[in-house]
Amino acid sequence: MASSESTTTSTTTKVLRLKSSDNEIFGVEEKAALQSETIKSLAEDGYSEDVIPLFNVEKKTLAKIVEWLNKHASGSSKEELKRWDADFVDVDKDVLYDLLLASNYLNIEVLLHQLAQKVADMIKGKKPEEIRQLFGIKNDFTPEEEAEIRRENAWAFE
Amino acid sequence: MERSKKKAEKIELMQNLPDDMIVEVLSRLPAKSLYRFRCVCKSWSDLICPHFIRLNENRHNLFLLFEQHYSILDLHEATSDVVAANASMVKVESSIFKDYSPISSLLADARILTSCDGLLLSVLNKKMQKLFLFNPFSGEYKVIPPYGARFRHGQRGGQVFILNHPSPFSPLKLIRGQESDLVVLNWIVGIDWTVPVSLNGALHWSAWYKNEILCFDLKDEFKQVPGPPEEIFTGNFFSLDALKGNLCLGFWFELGYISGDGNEAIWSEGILDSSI
Repeated sequence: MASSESTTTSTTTKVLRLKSSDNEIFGVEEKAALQSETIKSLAEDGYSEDVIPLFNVEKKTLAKIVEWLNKHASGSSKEELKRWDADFVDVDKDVLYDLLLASNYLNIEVLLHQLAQKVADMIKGKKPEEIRQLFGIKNDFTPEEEAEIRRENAWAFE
Repeated sequence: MERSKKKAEKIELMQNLPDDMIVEVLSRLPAKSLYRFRCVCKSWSDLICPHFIRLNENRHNLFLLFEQHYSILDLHEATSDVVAANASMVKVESSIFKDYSPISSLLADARILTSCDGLLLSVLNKKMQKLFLFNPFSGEYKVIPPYGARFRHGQRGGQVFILNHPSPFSPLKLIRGQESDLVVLNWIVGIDWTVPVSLNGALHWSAWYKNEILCFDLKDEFKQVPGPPEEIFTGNFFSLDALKGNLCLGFWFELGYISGDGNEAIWSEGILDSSI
């Protein structure tokens, strides 16, 4: 009885230490951190007693991610989380891109979906030229090819 | 100098987003944006068509409404608990189908029997009387092999077709039956019923121009499902469909939902963009 209680306590309060690419260390409760599949597999590989290095995430991004992990492990109500998430993704596009890459690398599916939805909402009404600018994409169509595609999909440009 | 270099790197980073992440974003876009973005660059164009559109459907439940012309209601904005307040209706002239060979030339003769999640079940009237499933966005189609009796839709004793998606990720099911076996069609004489819609294992019909919806559970008996409240029901609805586990009545310029299995019907309405 006593031993099972102490096991429970030690599981819930265990803290994992995550290290950003620029060497900042964040302490995160295991329950929150394991929402990331990447951290989960690193922890299973024996990193859990030590520092878990996250080479692809800078500290400013990791701070945001940790904030998200904590909130989503806090037992907030569904409505509260929904409001909180809407504020969380309401950031400028550079931050959004960093978060998108980090959530992909850390494999946090729920967050990845939220961020992808946010980007989709941001770009859905835009013109192709604006999309190229936003994503830094080079137009590799010849003018004739582009005109052809526009003609084929004319209804989408109305 | 330092700053502009950093910015350039950032832009490059976006360009190097893995395809699966770009797909994550694109799959959340309404069809109209997707088709517009086909001309962004070659790799986006390859990603978007045509396989991609099908993926998109699972997420957004494109819903087709039709009468004399084809109209597509893109419920991208709607979620199961949010009414389609921002849904926009895209009117698609039948000329859009022209480019979709080889089905295009045949489509002029086709009749739409029913639709499910953006796919149309159509029949070619003349000659072959072929049945096919058609995705008007991607142009993909699948001919459905003949089975049993010769197809005679619309005649008494003809066949009835029901398209059903039991869950978003399960395959689309086509149920065919003889009208004479589906007693309900003759259950109330003097009222024209819509093509049956399958939801939660039960069939649903709606009476044209009447606020009556009928449900038939194969284990159960017929029952009437409460229709939308009078202030919503304008009388000129034109389709009954199943959408995200809800029954949905399409009105001109308005949309009504009914949720649940009909026992506890909650209707809500959404006003469509009037720019159609």
